[in-house]
Amino acid sequence: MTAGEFGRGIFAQNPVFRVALGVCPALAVTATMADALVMSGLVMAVLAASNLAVSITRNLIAQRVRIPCQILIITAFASMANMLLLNRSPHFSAALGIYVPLIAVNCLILNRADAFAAKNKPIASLLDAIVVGIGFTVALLACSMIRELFGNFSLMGQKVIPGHQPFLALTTACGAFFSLAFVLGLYNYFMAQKGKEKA
Amino acid sequence: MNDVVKSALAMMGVAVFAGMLIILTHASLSASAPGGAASSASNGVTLAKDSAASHPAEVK
Repeated sequence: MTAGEFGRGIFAQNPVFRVALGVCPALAVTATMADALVMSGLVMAVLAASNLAVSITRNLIAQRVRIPCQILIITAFASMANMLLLNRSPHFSAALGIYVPLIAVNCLILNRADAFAAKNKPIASLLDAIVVGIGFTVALLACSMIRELFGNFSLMGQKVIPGHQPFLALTTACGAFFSLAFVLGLYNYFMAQKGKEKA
Repeated sequence: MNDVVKSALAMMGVAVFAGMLIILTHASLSASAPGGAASSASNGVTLAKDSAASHPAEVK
């Protein structure tokens, strides 16, 4: 994998911004940057492990049962991630709530398992998982930074602008839609500018 | 071998792998937890020692 492909996977082919995969956690757990960081770490770990397992077993599993098998593999790793988080960090487990077990049905992970890992070698699948995971992390951090900065006037729990009333609406569900729309708008604007420069 | 049998075997294999993964994770986490099976005996000893140290008169 070249540096250009690596960068393209993170920005030009970002799973959240370009193909709107994994938007559910991008909306639900981006109230603070710490939650977004933990969620993206878990998604990246499950993505890497499941991509590797699906790639290793790609020649052993019959085509007609490949999707149920992939879902079983992903569910096992998502359950592991849920148990580990519950055991090691109950605070984050409570903060992320149902969205950690729901990693098992994250369409981003299912997509990469079926579209890439089931057709490629283990090392390539692992690299793909890392690149897509970093892209997902960038998207979640961008949304959560806007929500935490303007919704709480803080970053990573540290107060940035003290003594003022923050825009609390940004920490609610509708604020998640607004922040994602803003980040998507910025992304599309920069991608359009880049396209014009190339033309 | 029949294709249906192959598919069933593949699914069974993946299900066993997934189950083992979950059971092993659960077992290792239970063993390492403060109230887990592996450390409960040593915790009991510590509690007994603490109790003896804090109530010397009763122990005598």
